[in-house]
Amino acid sequence: MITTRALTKVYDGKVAVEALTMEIRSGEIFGLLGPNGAGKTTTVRMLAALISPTSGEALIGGYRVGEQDAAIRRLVGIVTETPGLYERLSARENLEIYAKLYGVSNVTRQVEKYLRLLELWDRRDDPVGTFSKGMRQKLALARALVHEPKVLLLDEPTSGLDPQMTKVVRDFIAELKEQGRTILLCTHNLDEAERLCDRILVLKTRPIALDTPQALRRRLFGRRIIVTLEAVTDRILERVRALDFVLDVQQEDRRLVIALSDPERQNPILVRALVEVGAAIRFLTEEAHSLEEIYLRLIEEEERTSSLPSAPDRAEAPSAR
Amino acid sequence: MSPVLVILQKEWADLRRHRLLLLSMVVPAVVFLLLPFALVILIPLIDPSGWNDRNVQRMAELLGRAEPDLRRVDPLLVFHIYIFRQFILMFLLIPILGALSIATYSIVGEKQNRTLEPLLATPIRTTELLWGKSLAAALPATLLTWITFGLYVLLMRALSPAGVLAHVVNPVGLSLIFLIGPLVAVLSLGLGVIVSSRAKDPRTAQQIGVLLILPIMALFIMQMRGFFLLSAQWVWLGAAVLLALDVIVLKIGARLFQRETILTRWT
Repeated sequence: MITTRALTKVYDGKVAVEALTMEIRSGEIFGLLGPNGAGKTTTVRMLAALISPTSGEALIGGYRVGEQDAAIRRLVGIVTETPGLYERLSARENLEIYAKLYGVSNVTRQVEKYLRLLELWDRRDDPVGTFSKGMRQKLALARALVHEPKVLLLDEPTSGLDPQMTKVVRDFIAELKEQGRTILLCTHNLDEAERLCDRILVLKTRPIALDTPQALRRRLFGRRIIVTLEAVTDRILERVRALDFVLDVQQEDRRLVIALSDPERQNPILVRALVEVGAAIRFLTEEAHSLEEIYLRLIEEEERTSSLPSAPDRAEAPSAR
Repeated sequence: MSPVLVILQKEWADLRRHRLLLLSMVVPAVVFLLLPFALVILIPLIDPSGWNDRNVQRMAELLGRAEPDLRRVDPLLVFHIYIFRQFILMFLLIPILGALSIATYSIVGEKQNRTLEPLLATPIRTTELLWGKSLAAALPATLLTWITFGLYVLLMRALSPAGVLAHVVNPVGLSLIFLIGPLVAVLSLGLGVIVSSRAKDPRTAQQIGVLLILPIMALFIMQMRGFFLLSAQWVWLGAAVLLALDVIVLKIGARLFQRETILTRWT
């Protein structure tokens, strides 16, 4: 649904986004992560046909950014970093303006549909200036959806919301995916990205990594299991090390942290070997790395690489599909 | 519905609820409407010779030269004609202030509330957006000028001596209101658009209004001192100059009013 090839944007000689190549599949929630100033908003603006790329290309639903912008704008709904609503106008008036500008055929029905869906119908005639932050964010979502776009670009949709409202918005985004919409989600909330996104792209002007959170976890940390025993003896350690599929073993008090290549297949063999040498197993779990750890590791690696005098490997930025 | 009309509707719905902005337009109009009546009533009462001083005599001479039938008219009538003609010039400040206020509030307000980005993400063309905003500023300002002038005419008819109205509502007066008025409104909103691209708040943007108010005030004072009398030729020349200036400022405004420029360069 969205394809970019070597997409680059330069403002006054300063590179905002460089060589971004990616493909977002139809019906997918795609997370765009990165520190402040990483180029996330610039990317969203290019994909919404608000600004044109300096070089490279972007296709949205087959339409090329910079050439078929009007068609792209009809296909895309956008929630910007700040809701950007007309404070003196009512919720209904705000939506009506956008429905008309998008050329919606039945303005009244569409406006009512989304005001009801986002539980704003009872406050439909109140000025938006009297709304809470959560209500404004819901109205901004309704505005992005009023013309039934196939693609949604969401820039920090839960920023500044309380946990309850965050959940409401997050559940709503998940519902939109169920409806088959393609969603690009820019967020600093890594828990949200983990819960919602099928794949993520970590961006820091250039793309750093693109994959599913699980694949990135595996790539960065491998797969490790933690076995908690009543006691760890030398015999137990020797037995574990003797297993040819064990990549690494570390002892942490009464816990063994064991790196495996294929835990689903190797765990039963490992457990059997431990029991044979008299180990009393209390727990066996897979070590879980949060998306935050993945993200921080990626950013640290990128900073380390970019601080080197020459970094030829940077030219090979990921462009996974 | 045309996107221009949607923007127009939106702007007017917003304007109707912006009481301060409405007041800032209506109050000067009411002052310019009532002040000449206050002057023609109060000056003869406070200073019986005031309406016959040197300036008024010079003005009467000028008026008499331009319109010979006024030479034989009662000085009190000349005084009325003189004051009422003078204030038609002041009426030109209504479209200047009105169009500038609406344009700057509309554009700088959108910048402050960050409403421009979602608006520009719709299929609307930037020229349509600019047209919508321009009409939303120019039409009410021009309409307010015409309504104020209509009331002015009605009040003159009711309160002034017979014969005044015919000498005030003449081709020069009508051209000022119905030709120069809309042209200065367009110039004002064009400058408003240009300044709004840089200004962070509407009041800063409105300071540009001084540029437009000064020439009108200069004309007003020159006529008041009897140095100059605005004739039909001067009005037509002024209209031609204003038309040229309108085209220039609108072209500059349209060049600034581009999606990417608005999102990345407007501070």
